[in-house]
Amino acid sequence: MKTTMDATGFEATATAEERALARALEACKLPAMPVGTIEGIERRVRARRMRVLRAMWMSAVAVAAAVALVAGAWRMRSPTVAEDAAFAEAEAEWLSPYDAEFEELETTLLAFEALDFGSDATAFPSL
Amino acid sequence: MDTNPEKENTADLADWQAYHRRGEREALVRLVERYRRPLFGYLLRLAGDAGTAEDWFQETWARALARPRSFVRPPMAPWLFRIAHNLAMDSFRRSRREVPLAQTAEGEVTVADAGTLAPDRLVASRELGERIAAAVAELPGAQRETFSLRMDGRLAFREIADIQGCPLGTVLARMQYALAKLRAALAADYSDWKEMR
Repeated sequence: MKTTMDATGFEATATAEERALARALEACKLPAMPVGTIEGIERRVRARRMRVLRAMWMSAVAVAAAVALVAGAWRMRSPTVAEDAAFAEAEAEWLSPYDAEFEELETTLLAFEALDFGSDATAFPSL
Repeated sequence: MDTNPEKENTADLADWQAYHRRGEREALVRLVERYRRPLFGYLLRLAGDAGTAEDWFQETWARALARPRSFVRPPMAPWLFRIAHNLAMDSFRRSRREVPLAQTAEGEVTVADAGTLAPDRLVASRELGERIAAAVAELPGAQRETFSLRMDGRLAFREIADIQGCPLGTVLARMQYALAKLRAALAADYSDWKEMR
């Protein structure tokens, strides 16, 4: 059989000797193509594609792990002044509903501090 | 079998696209069968046994089909034979067997004065083909591969040089050495032809 070739290929350049040898070799019988050749090729192609997909998946997992590590390290580092201020602001916002209770508690504590119980612990009033 | 290179190029490209774009399995079967003889013949001469050649044949196609974008344009044969060559060389390196291209010593050859075979006078019998194949099997690796790429693959010498990664002159020299050794080994066949002439 002839394979594909361009104008400078075998047909254009072969000597008479080469053509004769090629024709003689063509008459030589080769083993027939086994039945499962096409299936074997397809199976190998699928396996190669799976290997590529697996490699891509592993790369994605590795990237995700690296991002998580970097994010963790970022969180664990010392906070900046701006972050401190932002946190204080958020904290004040979260605690604002309890302001009235804090004030009441503070008033009560101040009232206790104003009392003089001396050294007699038993004189401490029960709460 | 079609002998028009342009037609074959068109058929190769059409089948390649039909398989990759539309998943037509029949297109793959046509492609594989079209290249069965040249590609398997080449691999058989390199490997020396049919089992290894079949394994390499399937792996060559698997590598080719797994990278559809690497086939840019016809002709397909040089691209396919390059994949096969690289596969065989990798395998030789892994198994520490003889690496055909590592053989650089061409050695002394006795050039038979048998002249050349005329295509119209040579009877291409199976027996003669088998004698030639046996003589080819005795050639040093690099010469054997050059001969096979030329005869089985029907490649141009420039394409063979690209595949083997060597200068054109080296390929031409290898082919000349191979032919000279074949003339010596097949002297009886060559002289038969001379008598017929």
